Amino acid sequence: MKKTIGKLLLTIGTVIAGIAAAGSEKASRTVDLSSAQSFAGEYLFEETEGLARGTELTAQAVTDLRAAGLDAVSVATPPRDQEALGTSDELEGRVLASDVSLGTEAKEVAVGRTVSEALLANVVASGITSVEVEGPSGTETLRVDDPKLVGRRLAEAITVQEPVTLKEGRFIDADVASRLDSAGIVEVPVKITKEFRFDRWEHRWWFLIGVGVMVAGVVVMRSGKPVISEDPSGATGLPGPAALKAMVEKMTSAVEELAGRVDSMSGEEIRGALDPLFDQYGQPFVEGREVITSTYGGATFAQIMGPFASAERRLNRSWSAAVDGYLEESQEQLKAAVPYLREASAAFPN
Amino acid sequence: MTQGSKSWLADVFQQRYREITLPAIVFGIVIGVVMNAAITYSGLKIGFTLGGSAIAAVLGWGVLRGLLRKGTIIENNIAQTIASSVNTSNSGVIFTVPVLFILGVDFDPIWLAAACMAGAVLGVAFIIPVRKQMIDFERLRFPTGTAVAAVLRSPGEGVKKAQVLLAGIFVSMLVFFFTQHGVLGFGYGDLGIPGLHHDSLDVALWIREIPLIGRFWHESMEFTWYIAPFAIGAGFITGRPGLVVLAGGILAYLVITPIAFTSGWMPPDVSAADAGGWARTAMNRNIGIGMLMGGAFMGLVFALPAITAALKSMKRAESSGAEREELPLKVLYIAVVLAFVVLFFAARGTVADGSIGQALTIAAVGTAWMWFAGIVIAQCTGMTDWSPISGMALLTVMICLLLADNQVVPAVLVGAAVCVAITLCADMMQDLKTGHMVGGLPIRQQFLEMTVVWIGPLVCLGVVYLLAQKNMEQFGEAFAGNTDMPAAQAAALHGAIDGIRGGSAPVHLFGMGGLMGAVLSLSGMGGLGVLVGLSMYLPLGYLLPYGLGCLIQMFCLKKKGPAWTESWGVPFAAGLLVGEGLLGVVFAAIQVLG
Repeated sequence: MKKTIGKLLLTIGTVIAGIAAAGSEKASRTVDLSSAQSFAGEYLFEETEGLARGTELTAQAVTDLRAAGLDAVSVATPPRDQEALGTSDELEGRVLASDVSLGTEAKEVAVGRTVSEALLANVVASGITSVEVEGPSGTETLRVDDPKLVGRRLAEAITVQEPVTLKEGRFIDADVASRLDSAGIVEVPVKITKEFRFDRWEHRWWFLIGVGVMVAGVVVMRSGKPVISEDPSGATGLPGPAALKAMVEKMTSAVEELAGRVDSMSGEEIRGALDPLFDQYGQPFVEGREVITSTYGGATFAQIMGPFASAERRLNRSWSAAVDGYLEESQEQLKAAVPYLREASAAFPN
Repeated sequence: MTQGSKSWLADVFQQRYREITLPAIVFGIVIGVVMNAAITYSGLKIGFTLGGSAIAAVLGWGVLRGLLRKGTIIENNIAQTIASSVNTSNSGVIFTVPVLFILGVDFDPIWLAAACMAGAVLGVAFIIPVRKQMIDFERLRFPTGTAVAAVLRSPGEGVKKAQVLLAGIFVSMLVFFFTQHGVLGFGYGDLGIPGLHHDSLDVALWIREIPLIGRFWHESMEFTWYIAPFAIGAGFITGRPGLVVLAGGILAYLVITPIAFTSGWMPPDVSAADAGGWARTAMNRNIGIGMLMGGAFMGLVFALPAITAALKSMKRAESSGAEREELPLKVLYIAVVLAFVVLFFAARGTVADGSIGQALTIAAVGTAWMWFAGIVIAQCTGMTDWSPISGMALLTVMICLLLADNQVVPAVLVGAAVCVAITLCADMMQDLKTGHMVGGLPIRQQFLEMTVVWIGPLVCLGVVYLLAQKNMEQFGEAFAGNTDMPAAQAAALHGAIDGIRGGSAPVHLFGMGGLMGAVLSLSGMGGLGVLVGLSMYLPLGYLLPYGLGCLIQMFCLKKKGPAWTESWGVPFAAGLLVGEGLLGVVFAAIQVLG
């Protein structure tokens, strides 16, 4: 029962905290119009009382909204997603909000380059009227208005005036800033990044409440004990430590018995004998392993599971060797599993 | 206890049972190199990547056992171990290295190759002390590893079980076949069933038609199921623990998203249909990444007693002369020191105006982060088969940008090394799970992986360089832009890097998620924080069939019992996992060859 309540609290807390965390990224925030402060530089997030989305909250706009009976409105966060900065301003460290053209620059286009639509446009803009391209039997000269030109490979290097564009999203470092300045760009559109401010996060208390509920759920869950029974089938909850120990002991006995007669067994017989061992003892033991941790602690768990896994691996190897016809290896590995199982069994505290 | 030789090398090569053989090694390397080159190409061109273990296992079965008539189960395990280790590094490289080409920055390819090779070796080495914890103690399922074991064991499981495995492969291929509209020119979407697209099923469309209930299903609540047999297979193999993954997805897509949309938290230009995508990018994914970190950290704290006990038993085994199961810890120590040195000189050689202290810090943090992130990825893969590589790449680059004064080259270089390392961590663990199930000796798999794993980054980087060169000659750009190689994962990381440098890193969401993940993992339910975090990070379309697989397994357990489910259900599920991967490679090859 405690575990169920704990899981419920954990789930509810996670949902609350998750929603609140997501709320920190909301694209708007609510401002209180009844306060005396100026809202210049804030912009409406959505159409409100006839004022369009994006309207700046000037003194007049605020008056109109108050007159309409509103004491709070949603404003965009950040107020603007971009701004224009002069190239003499501090541009470094900002990100371009849209593509910026730096004009054109002479660029040599190497032999072998494929003539794309974009390259062809540059060729035409550069005043070139014909180009040499690779042909089926050597080179041929095609005019720039020849529809066959696109897709052909240049047979000669040419120099074109290629437009230089800095793409939207480009980070402005010292090099980019210098190029902007050199190109005579006066104003550059840059992105305004959304800053997280804890004091403006409207759902911060909900987040803390959510985490608190999660913690309460964890406490309740951990205070509840797993339903443990000594029924080795696990039908009425997890098998208890005594039942788990019994499984390991039975598996040890079974493997010991097999090891005693394995030298006279065929590969087929070994394989047939191993399969039920995993189903009957190995798998149920593995599925009940959390009981060992909760009962005896992590270190003891490691002392039991380590050798058990080593034994398991040797039994798997024995199985594989039997299938592949390596009978001696199969027999040796089966015998080699016994000491590990004994070690696992002995590691259970009394 | 079996007395092993004093030399651990003798433990590697001592064998009466055909295991480490020249055919297995050669086959593994050849297949690994071919898969690596092919998947690097397809990853850059169409965004398709694949682990490779399952393919290598099936091919090895055919070549070693079928053609050569010699291959044993554990020999095939060695072959697939080598093949997957040589192949896997492409995921880490594809996510990161093309960014340097897209940015057009100058970098030293020698240091890049050295850093990636160091990362590969470290990825294998770091997992040495964690194998016992994850496989022997926690018994993580590693669905792909389990599926590969089912393939390897099929010769001995009897004709009927082999038929069940093949049936699973066939069903998976058949279902997946008709999702490939882009290649075939026809698909499920042509059936004209409302909501049924070529590769997905929009169940929300049907729900909204149900009288009384439909009107409560808001338009922003997406409920699209990808037609992905591999996800059903992985969910079946995972079983009940995987349901937590579904629960987290429900929280993200069916609770947070509609609340955020209806409460007006999203910009007005975001429609209901786009709400899920917006919420995932702006909110859920970042909270999920934080949860992963917090949950993994807390899980590590809880696991310390068991990890300590495992390390002690390793040391006891080393000193007692008992047969070793793992490589000696000194191999790990040497690998750590070597990797640290390589990262130090790589940072020293790439950070402009950097100091020795800065390079030391980058190397130390990079090495420590590699270890932690590798454990996170291995844990996620072990619990669910999903690995959040892109999320880890993002976090890694963010940390490195912070340490390297916002310089992209060292950040991406160390990021590439870390990403290669963590993909190898996950791959090694999958292979070790397979090895455990078929009786392979871990020390042999670890040794062989460490000796060949460096090949993968070289092959992958070589392909990236060749393609970049070819594209520069042909299109004037290396990747993306006007080329026919969008390098989608790297392009996404590039966009994120510019944003991070511009100050838009969602550190607060990582922190909130971290706190939630840590508390969830305190609950005592193994890896809960990691699972919920992972599910908020992944697209719902894959989580739904995955959850269906979990439910089917639970139903089978209840009706048929554990023995039946393990004996018959798992081989079929393994077939579902393997089949889609096999056919996926074929279609990817068709697409890239034009």
